[in-house]
Amino acid sequence: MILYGQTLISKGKIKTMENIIECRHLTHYYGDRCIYEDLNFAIAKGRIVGLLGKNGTGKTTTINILNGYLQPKSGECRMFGQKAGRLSPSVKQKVALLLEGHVQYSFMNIAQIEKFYASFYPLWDKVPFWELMNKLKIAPKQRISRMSCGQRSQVALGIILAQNADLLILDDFSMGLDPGYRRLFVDYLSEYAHAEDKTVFVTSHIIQDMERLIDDCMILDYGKLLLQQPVDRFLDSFKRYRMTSSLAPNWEKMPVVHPEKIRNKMEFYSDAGRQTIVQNLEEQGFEASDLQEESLTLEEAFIGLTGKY
Amino acid sequence: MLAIAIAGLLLHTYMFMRVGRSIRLVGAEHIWDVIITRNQFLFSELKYLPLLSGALLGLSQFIPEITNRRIKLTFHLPLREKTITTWMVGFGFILLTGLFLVQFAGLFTGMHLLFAPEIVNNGALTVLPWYLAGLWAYMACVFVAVEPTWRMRIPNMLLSTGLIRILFLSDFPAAYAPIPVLMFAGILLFVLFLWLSVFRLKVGRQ
Repeated sequence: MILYGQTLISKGKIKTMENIIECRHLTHYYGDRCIYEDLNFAIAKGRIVGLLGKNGTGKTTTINILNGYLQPKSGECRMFGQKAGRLSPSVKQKVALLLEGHVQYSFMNIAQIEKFYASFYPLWDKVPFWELMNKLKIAPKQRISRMSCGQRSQVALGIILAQNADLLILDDFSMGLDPGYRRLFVDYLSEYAHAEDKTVFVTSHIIQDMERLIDDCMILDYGKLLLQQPVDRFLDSFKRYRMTSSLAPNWEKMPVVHPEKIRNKMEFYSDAGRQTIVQNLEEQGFEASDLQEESLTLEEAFIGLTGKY
Repeated sequence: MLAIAIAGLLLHTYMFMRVGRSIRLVGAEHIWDVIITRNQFLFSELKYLPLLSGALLGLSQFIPEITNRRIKLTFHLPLREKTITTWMVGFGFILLTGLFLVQFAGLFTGMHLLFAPEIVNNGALTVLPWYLAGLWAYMACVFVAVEPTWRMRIPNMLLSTGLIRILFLSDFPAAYAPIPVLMFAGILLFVLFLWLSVFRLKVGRQ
C-alpha cells in the first residue's frame, strides 16, 4: 500500500507522494453479503489508478462511498483531506466525476450543458470540450438524450476535461462503448492526464483498455483487495507458467495461484520468480526442464490473479 | 408544468361556465340563497386540483433526478447540498405558487363579478387550504423522492399523506379560516422534513 509521504520509484522517476484519496478500514455489506472488510488504500497525486475487479466486487460501491453517496458499515474515505459526504464546495470544484453509464443532464443540448457547467467551475476551459464535440460532428442544438451511447460518453468526457479538476473519478467509463469510442476515450484521457499532471481514479471491467491508461492497479476480489501496485511492477513479477507432467505437484506447498491441470498440461500463475518455482518443483521431485515462463498482458494477469470464475 | 396550467385553465373555465349557466337557468337569487343559507361552495371541483398539481410537479421534477441518478451529479456540483436543494425546490415552489396565484386571482375576480364581497371572501378562505395542500403536496413529494431508502420512504409517505389529509377534513366553507398561520407553518414543517431527506442522501444512508 502507498502511504502518505512515501517515495515511489516508477518508470525511472522518483516522486514524493502526496495522497489525494485515502480510504481506511472500509467495511461494507449489502444485507448479509460482505463486499469487503478492512479495505485500505491511498491514491497519490499525479497517478492514474485503475480499480479493477469482476462484476460485483465493489468497484462502484467504492466510488459511491468515496463521493459520499453511500455510508460504509465502518471506516472512512477522505479526498483532499476532507471526509467523504462532507466535501466543501471548494473541494468539489477539484473533483471531476463521471458516473457509471455516462449519466448527464440529457434534456440539455451540448451548448446548454457547456454553459451550465461553465458557470460552476472558475477554471473551466471550453477548448477540450469543443474539440471533442467537433470530432463527433453533432449539431450544437442536438439533445444529449437523442445521442448514441458513444456520443454521450464523449460529452461526459468533454465536461470532465473542461472542468480542469485536479482529480478525475471515472466509474466504468467503458460501459456500453464500442471499441472505437473506448480507444478514443482512453487516448484522450491518457494524453490529458499525463500532460496536465492530473490524478485519475478509474474503474472498469474491460481490462484491456486500462493497460493503455493506468500507472497503478488495484485489484479487488470478492471481499478483499488483492493488490495495489504500479502496473509495470506487477507485470514484471507476475507470470504464467506452463509445464507437462502426468502428476500434479502439491500446489499448497507452492507460491502459485489458480493452478490448472488438463490431461498432462499444467498451467499456473505466480509472482515468486522462475528460480523459486523450479526449486519448489524439484523439492517435490518434479523435473522442471520444460517449465515455460510467459509474460502477460494486464488482462491475462488479472484473470490469472482473480481466476476465470 | 404546462399541462398542469392548461388543466387548471380548463377546470376554471368549466366551473365559471357551469355557475354562469346555473345563474341563467335558476336566477341569481336562488344561487345566492344556496350559498348563504345552505353553506354550499359552488367551486368545489377545484378541491383536489392544487393537490394534484403540486404532487405532479414534485414528482415530474424529482423522479427523473432520482431514477436517472442525476441527483448524484447535481449534488457533486460545487455548492452546498442545501443550497442546491434550495434552488431546485425554490424553483418549483415559486413556479407552483405563481400558478396558484394566477388561478386564485382568476377565481377571485370571476367570483367578484357574480357575488357579494362577503361571499367572495368566504370563497377565498375556503380554497386557501386546498392551495396550501398543493404546496404541501409538492414539498411532500420532494421529501419522499429525495429520501434514499425505501424503508424510510414508506413512513415518509404515510406521514405526508396524514398531514395533508388534515387540510381536507372539513368541506364546510371557510372551515380553516381560524388557523391560517398553522397552515402556512405546515410548509416550514415540510422544509424541515426535506432537509432530513437531503442530509440522509448526502451522508449516503442505505
